[in-house]
Amino acid sequence: MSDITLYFDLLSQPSRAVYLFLKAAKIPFKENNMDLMKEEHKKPEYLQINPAGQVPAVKVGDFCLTESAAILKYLASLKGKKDWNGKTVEYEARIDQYLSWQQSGMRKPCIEVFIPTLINKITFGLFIQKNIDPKQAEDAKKALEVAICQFEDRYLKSLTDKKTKIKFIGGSHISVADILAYCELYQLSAVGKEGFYKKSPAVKQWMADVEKEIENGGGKGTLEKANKRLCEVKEKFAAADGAKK
Amino acid sequence: MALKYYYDLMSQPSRAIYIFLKANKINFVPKPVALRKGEHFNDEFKKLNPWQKVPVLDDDGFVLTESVAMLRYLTSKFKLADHWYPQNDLMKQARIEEYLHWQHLNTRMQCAMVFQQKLIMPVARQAQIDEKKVQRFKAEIPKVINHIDQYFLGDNKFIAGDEISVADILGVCELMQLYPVYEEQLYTSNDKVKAWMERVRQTLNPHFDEGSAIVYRTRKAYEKLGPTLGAKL
Repeated sequence: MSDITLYFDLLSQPSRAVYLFLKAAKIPFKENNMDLMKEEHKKPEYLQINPAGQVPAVKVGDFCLTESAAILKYLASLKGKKDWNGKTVEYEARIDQYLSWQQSGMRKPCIEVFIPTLINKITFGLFIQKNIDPKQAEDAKKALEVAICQFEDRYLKSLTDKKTKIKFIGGSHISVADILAYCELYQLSAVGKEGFYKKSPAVKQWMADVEKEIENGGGKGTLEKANKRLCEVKEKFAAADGAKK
Repeated sequence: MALKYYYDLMSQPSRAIYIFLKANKINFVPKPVALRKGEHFNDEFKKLNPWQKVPVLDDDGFVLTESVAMLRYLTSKFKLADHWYPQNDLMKQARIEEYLHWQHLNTRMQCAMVFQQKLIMPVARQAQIDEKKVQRFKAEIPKVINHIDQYFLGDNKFIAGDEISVADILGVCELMQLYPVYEEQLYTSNDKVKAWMERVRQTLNPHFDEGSAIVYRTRKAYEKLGPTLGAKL
């Protein structure tokens, strides 16, 4: 019986990242699958685990931990998978740099495209459809394009030679940063915005390489199971045509 | 080749790394970048860091941004005392990481925005302080202080326990950004947080005061400048 309990909702990118990491790294864990739509994260039992009321969180014995970047690094170290945190001091630093940068550098621009598009689709066909403000949409589109460009340029290139491509943020070995980045970008597919990450051959290849590692470690169907809730969102609102690419 | 450090001491993470380098007697080539003069927009700096932000570390060609990453890198590279970032006590290490990642959208964001709205923006726009915006960010700070008090400190002297770590340095530097704009009551009103900040300062002195000199000078200047921008001190 595993000593790790993961509290997560697969609709949440950081939740999915920890879930997929545990699967890919073959670390057994107990699933506490929560439904944010039903506000399970606000219930008193969960607030005992995470007073901030957010997912994901882990409980290892009596030790509770929040913040996906901290959780990923902790579990990798705890369960003898330190290579996921970087094989050299420099790659460790590069991974840390990504984990820190991504809050405003990747997550924010992705959310600023994702949320308005999602709301627009949800309200499609309703009396008051929430339309996307064209200027905001244009700004958000540009910001995300810049973010993905910066991601490719700074994280998928060699540490000292800025021209040579590397396979993962962690170099030749996949890292916790790659999983987190993958989940953040993949979220865009739920609202039909996968074009953003499919545009660059290098980013597209990197995503395919991350997916391959996840399936290798977690077994066939790991990604399908993890992305199921997102796919349901995509199918449910596929009829909406309010969003412009 | 020497370690080059690019910074502006008015920037909270710049200050944290500077104090950390000094306190640990790590030799470095200081490369001050004056943000107020727009030096971070220079082509030369942009080549080094396309995000045009400070701080930046250049360790013999290995360029690193993000203060969180730098603190950890320096601890590993220079084999500093374990309490800064414990290698063997994974729970302490995790708690430090948890703070370092939580603080971006909490301590850092709210305190930086109050400072920006009370000084940087009105001066740049040559306009009065937008009180609505200041109040909006100030309103979030009690929650931040409470979380530091209850969740991160608890009964501990420092975030990770009895000894100072990289989380404490960054935490205190971010909160101190309220001091030059006369908003320190947001943290001095909490006895535990106030005591923790003083403890961190004493542990790191004289380097803490040296690194924070510009903060103290700015507060003095704000005494006259603030009211011209519409601030009530």
